[in-house]
Amino acid sequence: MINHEDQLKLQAYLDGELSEAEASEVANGLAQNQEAAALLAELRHTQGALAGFEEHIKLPESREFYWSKIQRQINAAQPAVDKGGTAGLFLLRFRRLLVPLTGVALVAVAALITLREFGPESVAVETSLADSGAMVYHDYSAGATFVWLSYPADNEMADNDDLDTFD
Amino acid sequence: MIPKPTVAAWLAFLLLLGGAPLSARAADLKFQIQLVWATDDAKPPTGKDYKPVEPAIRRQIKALKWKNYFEVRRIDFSVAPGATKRVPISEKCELDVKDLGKSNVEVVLFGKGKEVARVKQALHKGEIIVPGGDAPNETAWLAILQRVE
Repeated sequence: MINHEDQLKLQAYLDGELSEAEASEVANGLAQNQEAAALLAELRHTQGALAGFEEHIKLPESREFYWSKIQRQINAAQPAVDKGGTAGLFLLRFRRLLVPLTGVALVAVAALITLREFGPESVAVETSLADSGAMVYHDYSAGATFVWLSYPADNEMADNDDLDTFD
Repeated sequence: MIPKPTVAAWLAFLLLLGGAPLSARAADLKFQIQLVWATDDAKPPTGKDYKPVEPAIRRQIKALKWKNYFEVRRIDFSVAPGATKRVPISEKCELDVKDLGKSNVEVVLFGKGKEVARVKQALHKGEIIVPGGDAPNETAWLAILQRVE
């Protein structure tokens, strides 16, 4: 039974990654260990099979130019962030908010206009008189409301010699 | 994908941003109180330089049957939106005027510091609320509260 470390060493031997001394040691071991030799043969077979199916793509331009095109495409997808820095980021976020904000503003103005134009125009006329002798009269044609009070009473008014009763 | 706002969208947004607060801001209500002495006498009392009330006001108080109305004093004041203004009209008498919004007002008349009457109604430009009462010698006093603006 070959342990894991020996399996890795066999793979390295196959790939030519061992030093000369290590490679010689492994080669000697293979002559005495049939299991190791079989594993190496299987690994070599697998390597050959994979190599046969490896696709070789030839680019019409240099490797650097090919990747620079990809880089430009990435940059083009994020213009505000990459070109504008912080200001660009702010503009990008503001643009995202602009459409919904405009919508909200439109709704708010429409609601405001509706409330102002079609909301309840006036409260019902309410009158509360603490003066029991008082009365209220509405002259709608003249746009006048009269609240006729018993105050100031005649006696109080009579106390004033001056006819300027409000003083 | 972020939608790209058009120039029109920008303009509409800026217009709404600037216009909405303006349209929402209510203006102060402006009032005038004319203290008026109503009498059947042709002239004001001796020594008093009272002038007859203006014809427009005279027409509005046509429901009253005195022959002459003399303006004793005139007080101009304004009330901020939603606010209440107390206006002294004599030593004994004060008026509270409260803006209730949408041209509605509440007027409270105080006599000697006590509430005498309270009226809540719409009061549009030019309209009047007239607290008044009988006075000696078949005369009367009026405090004509008119909405000016």
